[in-house]
Amino acid sequence: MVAIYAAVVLLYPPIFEAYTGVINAPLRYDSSVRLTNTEFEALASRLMFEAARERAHEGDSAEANHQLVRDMKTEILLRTRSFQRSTGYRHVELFRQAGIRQYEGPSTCLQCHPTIRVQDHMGNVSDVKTLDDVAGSVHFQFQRIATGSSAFGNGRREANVAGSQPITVGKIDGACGIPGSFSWTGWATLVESKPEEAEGKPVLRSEGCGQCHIGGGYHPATEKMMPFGEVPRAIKEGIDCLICHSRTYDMNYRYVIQDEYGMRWNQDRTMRAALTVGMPSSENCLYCHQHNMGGDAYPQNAAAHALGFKNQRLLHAGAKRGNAWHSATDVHAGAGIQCLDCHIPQGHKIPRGPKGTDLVANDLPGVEVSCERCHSTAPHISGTARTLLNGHVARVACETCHIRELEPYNVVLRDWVSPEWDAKEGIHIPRDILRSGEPGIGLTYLWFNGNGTFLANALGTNPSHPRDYNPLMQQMTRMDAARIDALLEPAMRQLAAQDPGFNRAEYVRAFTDTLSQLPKELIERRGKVVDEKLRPIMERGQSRIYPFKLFNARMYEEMSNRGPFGAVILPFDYKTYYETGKPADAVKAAISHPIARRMYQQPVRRYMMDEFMSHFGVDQWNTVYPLENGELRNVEAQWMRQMGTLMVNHGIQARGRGCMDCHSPAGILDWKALGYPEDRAQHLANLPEAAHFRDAVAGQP
Amino acid sequence: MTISLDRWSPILRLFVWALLTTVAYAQEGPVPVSSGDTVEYCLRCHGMQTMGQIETLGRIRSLAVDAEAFKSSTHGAKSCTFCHYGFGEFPHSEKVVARRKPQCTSCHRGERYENWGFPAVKEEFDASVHKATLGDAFTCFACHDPHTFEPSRDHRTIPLTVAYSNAICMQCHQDRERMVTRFAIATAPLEATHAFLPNRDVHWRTVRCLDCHTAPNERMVSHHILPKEEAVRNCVECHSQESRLMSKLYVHRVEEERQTAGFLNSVVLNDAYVVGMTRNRYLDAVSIGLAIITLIGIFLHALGRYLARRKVRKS
Repeated sequence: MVAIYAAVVLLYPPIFEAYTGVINAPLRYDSSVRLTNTEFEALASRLMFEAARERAHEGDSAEANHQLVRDMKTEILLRTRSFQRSTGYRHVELFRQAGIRQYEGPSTCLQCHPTIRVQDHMGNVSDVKTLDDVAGSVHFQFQRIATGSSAFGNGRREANVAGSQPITVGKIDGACGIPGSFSWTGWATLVESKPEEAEGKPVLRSEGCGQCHIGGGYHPATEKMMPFGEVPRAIKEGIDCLICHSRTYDMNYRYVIQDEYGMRWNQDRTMRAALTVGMPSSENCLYCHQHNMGGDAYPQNAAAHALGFKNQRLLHAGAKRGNAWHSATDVHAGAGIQCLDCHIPQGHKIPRGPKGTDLVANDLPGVEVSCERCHSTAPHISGTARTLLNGHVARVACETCHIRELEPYNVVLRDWVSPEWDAKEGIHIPRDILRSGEPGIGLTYLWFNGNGTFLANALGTNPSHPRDYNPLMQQMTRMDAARIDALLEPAMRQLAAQDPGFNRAEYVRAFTDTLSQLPKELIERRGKVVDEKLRPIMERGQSRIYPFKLFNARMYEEMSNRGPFGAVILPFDYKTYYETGKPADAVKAAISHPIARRMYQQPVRRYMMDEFMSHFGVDQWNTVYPLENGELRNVEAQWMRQMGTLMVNHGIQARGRGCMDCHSPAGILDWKALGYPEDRAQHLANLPEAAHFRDAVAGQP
Repeated sequence: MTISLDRWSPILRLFVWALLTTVAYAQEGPVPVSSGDTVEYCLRCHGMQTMGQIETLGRIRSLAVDAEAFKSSTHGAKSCTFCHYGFGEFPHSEKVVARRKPQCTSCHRGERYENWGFPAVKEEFDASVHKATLGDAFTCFACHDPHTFEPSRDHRTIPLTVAYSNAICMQCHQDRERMVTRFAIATAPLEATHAFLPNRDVHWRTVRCLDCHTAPNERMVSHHILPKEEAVRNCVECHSQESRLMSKLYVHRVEEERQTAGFLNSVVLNDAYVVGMTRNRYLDAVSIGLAIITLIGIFLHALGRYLARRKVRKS
């Protein structure tokens, strides 16, 4: 028995590494430096001084904006006892006493925090091992093999219910609308850019999913995808505690480094960052999460202003959601509410609410994160329309009115197959055919009960007319071609200039009528799957109208594994894509990665792929490897067969929409598409009462 | 001031309505943008289940009506404006909104008051612990929502009757916070006060609070809610053939049926069997039969032994 156990523990890791081609090695960080006592004390007083100066600047009025006044305030604060206490850099004293003069990663934290006390949402208290808690969290693993995911398969069943083959759900293997972010092949890479400024001289830039994940290894926590795989302890030592817990973390340390084993992400392991640890604030979360809310393009994205001391991180153009969490764009951020006030953590597991259409793993699937928890079901407390607005809560989500639009650079249509040259950054980037945050173009409204498909489609139904609502055959497959025609013009002109044979009508048809890409037989099968398999899930629970960010992308798809909802999306190799602008070559490079090859072999097919693909509506995983003699085989460029719909919950505006925004003929809601019969739709678009509240808006008298 | 117009002739009603509304709008308020006197018209807004507003911190006053529950309620055939007179226009004029809310006795008066048994209700209610502790703060509406009210009738199964009735009490008695915010009364948890009751949850499911907590009367329901000291605590009051429940929850069950069919009767079919209350005459007959057979057996056995003994002695 002991012998078998020892064999598994000792032999399994090298076999796994050899088979998948992943690398594990001890991790070293240059920023982790031992300080002398003198250096330590100098740093400690420097940090106190900076905190005092920052506080002295808070609430500065224009007339007090004088350097001498500030200096004086700083000076006084430094000598103020309550300030010394409240600055809260408690670890300065703790480190001083414990003799800690170097931050060496988790092992330093674990000296004093081997276990932590965790209280769950039911009030149960338990002590857990800190490192296990972190390494078991989605922030480290970004995958989960568990029930309770809000993702439902197109055509089969709920993932990971009893009796089914367990599969990992999460971004680690998610079919992402942004295919470059396939985490196995795009974890950390260095790209040679040729920016205008450098006049053709190559400049190294960092790119990859690892920039936003707390693991410091050479690949994501791939081991956890196997039934008894465990991430090696050396790799767990690469967990970046400080990016969440330090109030002075410097994002300039986050860039890709190459060592003798491979490429990985550097971290800020300076004592400067370690001395200011505490509970995470919104700033910590936003180092990474602003990327998928406001986006890198959002002017107030702090991380986008600290790109790295070297090998600077590449910024992503456009935005995934285009709803920033910032005091200027979100009323809660403006009120000083912190992320963890609503996303109340249980140890290192952080709830994201039970609803969701993406495949992002959920640490605490049953734990509620909702507006109602603070605002009740009668959130409108003043104004003549308050009772009527409160009435809408039963059918309309708060976000529907209180996110009036997304940022204008929100990406709606992205063509990865026809890249464009970004002269400023000196790389080839995917071409955004359409960006818009406008309702009806980049933002849409759908019934939603909290569930989504594996392809990011919101599920729900019109509670009073369930049979007439069918977004997977209707609104998610269509765009109003006439309405976006003018917006498409610049991209269309560029494409025509590049390719004399460019057929605009055909090109536009593929994404304004996505089902036109499917043969008739598959469209019929699709209709059947929606009616038989998805309707029962759509009719679960209580649906309300929610806003969704819309997107579609043109990517290379492997047609041997094709179903009525799409085919397998192939990843791109960042380096090849950015440097050469040849998407097909980038695909070849990415799928040459050993782990991508393994996916087309029997063991992985048995273990995972058959089950996984069934959730995308593909009956069986066809193991024909799409690369033969250096050429792509049975691969086509296609738009997704339906638009993805991502939940938007941040960027909340106090002043919501008014009655006439929906209840008028030119309103933002398409009542018919929402399942209302003709006469009812007419009525809802012409409510006589709405005019009475012409000026009344949600959140205002 | 509350006006009841339902006894007036329709034409007069219309005339007064027109006059009042014309005068009202001539004097104040915006011109109505819509009007109607059907339930459907009102439910366009009041059918939204979350319609309401926060009145004081922590308390939402619902202005929603459950369309289904209203239609099956005793008032379901009436239009909303029958009671909420003047609300048939939108926006509702401030004058109409400021009027006193309609009361039960706005309609249930005179003959209607007598016919619907209100004098007895009033008498019982005046003697009740609710009235004694809370006085005028405790109105009919504290228990009865006129939009969902159904009288206790015999058309439902007993479990449904029990659930409906107990839900009314539980609105307040299970929500101790509400007892404090609404009536400034602190109470002990029901689980604690009913700890003495064997099979407490079964009792709560199968009998009404009223069956133990009201004074006996001839009807199914009494509004004379007793103070807790006077509530029934003696098991035998129900668990006996002369069960108290006969004059309460089971008052409408046919007595004869119970007498003849024993515990296989329709009461059992309604999931309302009460130990000790009902008897099975077949079981009785079988038991007596067995007893007689046993006695006969003993007699024959003794006789046999006696005769055998005598025979031995003789020889």
